[in-house]
Amino acid sequence: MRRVLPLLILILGLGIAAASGARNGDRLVRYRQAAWSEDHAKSPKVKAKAQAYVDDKGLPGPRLRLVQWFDESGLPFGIGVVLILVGAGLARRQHAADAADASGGRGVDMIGCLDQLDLALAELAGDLADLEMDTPADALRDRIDTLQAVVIEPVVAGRGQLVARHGVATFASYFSPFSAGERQLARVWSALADGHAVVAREALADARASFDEARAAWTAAG
Amino acid sequence: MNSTPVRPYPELSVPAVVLGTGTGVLLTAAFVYINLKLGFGLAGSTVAAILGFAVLRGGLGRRSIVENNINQTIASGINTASAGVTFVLPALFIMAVTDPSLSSIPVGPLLFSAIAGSLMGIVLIIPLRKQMVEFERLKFPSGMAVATLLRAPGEGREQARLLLGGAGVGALLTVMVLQEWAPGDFDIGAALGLPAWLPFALYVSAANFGAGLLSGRGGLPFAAGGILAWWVIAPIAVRLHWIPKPPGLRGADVAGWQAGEIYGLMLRPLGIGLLIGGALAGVVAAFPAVRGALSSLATAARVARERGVSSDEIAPAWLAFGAVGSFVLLFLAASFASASLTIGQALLIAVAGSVWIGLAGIIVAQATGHTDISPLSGLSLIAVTLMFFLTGGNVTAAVLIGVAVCVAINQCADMMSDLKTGHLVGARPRDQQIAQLLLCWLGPLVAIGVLVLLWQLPGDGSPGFGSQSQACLDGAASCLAAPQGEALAATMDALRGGDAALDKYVAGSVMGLALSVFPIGGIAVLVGLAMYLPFSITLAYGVGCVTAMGLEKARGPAFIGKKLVPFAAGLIIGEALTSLADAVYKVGSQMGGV
Repeated sequence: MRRVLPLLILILGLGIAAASGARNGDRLVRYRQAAWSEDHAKSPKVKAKAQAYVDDKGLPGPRLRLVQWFDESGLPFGIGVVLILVGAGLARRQHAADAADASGGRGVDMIGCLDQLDLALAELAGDLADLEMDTPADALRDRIDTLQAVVIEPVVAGRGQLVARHGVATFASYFSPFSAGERQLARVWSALADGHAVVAREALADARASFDEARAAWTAAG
Repeated sequence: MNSTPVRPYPELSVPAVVLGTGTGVLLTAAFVYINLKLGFGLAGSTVAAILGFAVLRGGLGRRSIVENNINQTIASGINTASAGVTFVLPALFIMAVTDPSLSSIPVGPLLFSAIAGSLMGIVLIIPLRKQMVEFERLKFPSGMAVATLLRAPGEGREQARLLLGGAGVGALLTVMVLQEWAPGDFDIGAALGLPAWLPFALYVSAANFGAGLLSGRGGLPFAAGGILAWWVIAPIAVRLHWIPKPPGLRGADVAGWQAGEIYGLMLRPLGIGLLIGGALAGVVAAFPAVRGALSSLATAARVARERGVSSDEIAPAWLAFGAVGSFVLLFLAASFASASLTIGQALLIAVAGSVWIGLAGIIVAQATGHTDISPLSGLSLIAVTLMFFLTGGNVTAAVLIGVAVCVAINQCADMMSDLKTGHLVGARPRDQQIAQLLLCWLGPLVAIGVLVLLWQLPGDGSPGFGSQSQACLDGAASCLAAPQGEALAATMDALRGGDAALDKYVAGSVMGLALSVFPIGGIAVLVGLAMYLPFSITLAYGVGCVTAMGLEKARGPAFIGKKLVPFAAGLIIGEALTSLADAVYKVGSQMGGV
């Protein structure tokens, strides 16, 4: 219930705010009805009456629409917005608490990920060292795919926890080189697919340097 | 150890630039024509990537995935101007037919404005690459599809089969819809006898479903927004009599009229407001990351200079230079757009235009990043409305700046989608950014040139497109109806009559800001987009999301990466290529009188 309550409050608030926000002022509603009757009514009397209304009142301008809408729907809209804020605020607090729990050991294991990458990429570098140009390297590419799916992806999926734990700026300081390493690893994959062992080696060295940079920034983040 | 000679590994190369430029120019010219003829734009990335395979890899024997990526980046960057120009500019030509005061169209300022928009869109969105592509991990389904296509030479046979299979299914479904063998909407609600204001229909589109598959759980708020709009707000509006019953209408006609009112006067403008509020909150939330990104760009450039190597990131000084340059161009365009505008007004237009370009660019990039759908028409309309009021009702100036905004926001979405593709194939962001920046002037030039040429084609001063052109009046096959231009011209006329839903924009913005406190990035943009679009699109996309979640639960995350992604990418590619082929066929057969 503790987890669902913020979402329920948010949905209720969103429903109230959206419904009252979408509501048109009475003047616009009457104008639209009259404009329709002016064009489509069969009875000349109804048509004339509608035409008189359209000519007399006219289409409410932007400012008038805003004022009328606020007069008629401002209160429920305000209640809805407050409920959205309460629900979203509670959800944010819940999210931060989850991140704090996760930092106790059950959450994103950044250092574990970087350790695994360190070992796997050192091994990959050894295998790449002797690779000739234009040698098929399907097995090496499969290893990169597996690293992406099994080692990198869980950290990417848990980045929300990291933001909640460290804040955006600190998160960016280590996640930016981490992502750069990921992109450079994709370059190793592409170069291997194109049979270019030299570029694959260079990109792998760049990737390792980026992951090292991420490790340093993570350590600094505490 | 390495006895085989080492060949270069090209990325930003002359062949890639030449091929990308040629493809981009051809696609731009063709898409301007198709847009005027059929009323919709097409994306060029897939076509460019396939041409890249044929020419760079097949013809020239160059084996470089990242070089083909530069080719498609350039081609789509140039081509993206066609949609921006043809969405807004034809309205000015069409209005000039009945309003002589608009007949003198300032071509010079128009070019300045479009090029300024193109440049500004790119330089304003580049600093957000890290935020959107790396931190938020937006999906950019078309970008993922192009990356899957580019990586095809290195993928296993099974992935290639899935990609081709998906493309086949996408093509087949598209052909069935285009030939009217299958409905455009699978309308379950109509079969169940539900009123039109309680819709329950699925949009029949392989690309839309594929985008949902690629988005998975992340796309759910989009579907939830649609459900809120159409299954909660719409029935409330009808039951509480917020929507009148027009006298003389009965039964299904009443429900149809009410559904139109709910969508056009309530949900769509409220959705635009939510998009604005969500983007504003997004700017605030992303500020620390953008500041960090700019600082890391500067550091990377400095370190690269010290080491004597090229950085992976573009230097912030280039971005600052581009931002200032595009602002000056926009100011000049506004200054020379109309003799009645003062320097102060021109400055105000340039400032407001730049701010709106930044904001709308973020909205479009986030919307396409989450769903592959761009709320271009709504944002361009806001731009034109804003400029209309800032210029005291000057239609020419409003459209001119509207062109800049429209081109800019398309560039934002395209650049970010290309950068997503680049991230997935291991490209250097700097090379992609430089390529798109250096050629950003070309797309507007070609698009405006082709448009002006088509307008003057009759040669006797009569209009070349729109409902008042002779070809359209005669019902000839060569008629270019310019439906988007006609629609915007009608909207401009309505604006001149004071029709602007300011209340909805304000309410939506407040909701968007409040909703952004929720700890899911981009939720307000997704809910806003869901209200802005017809429900059948949102629901079909949601079915894709739920299907992906079910498959992930049943078969595990590896299945998603290895099997579902290539298949879903194939769906998008299949529909894109079939739609293009159909458009070319239709235009060709109409011109040939078949």
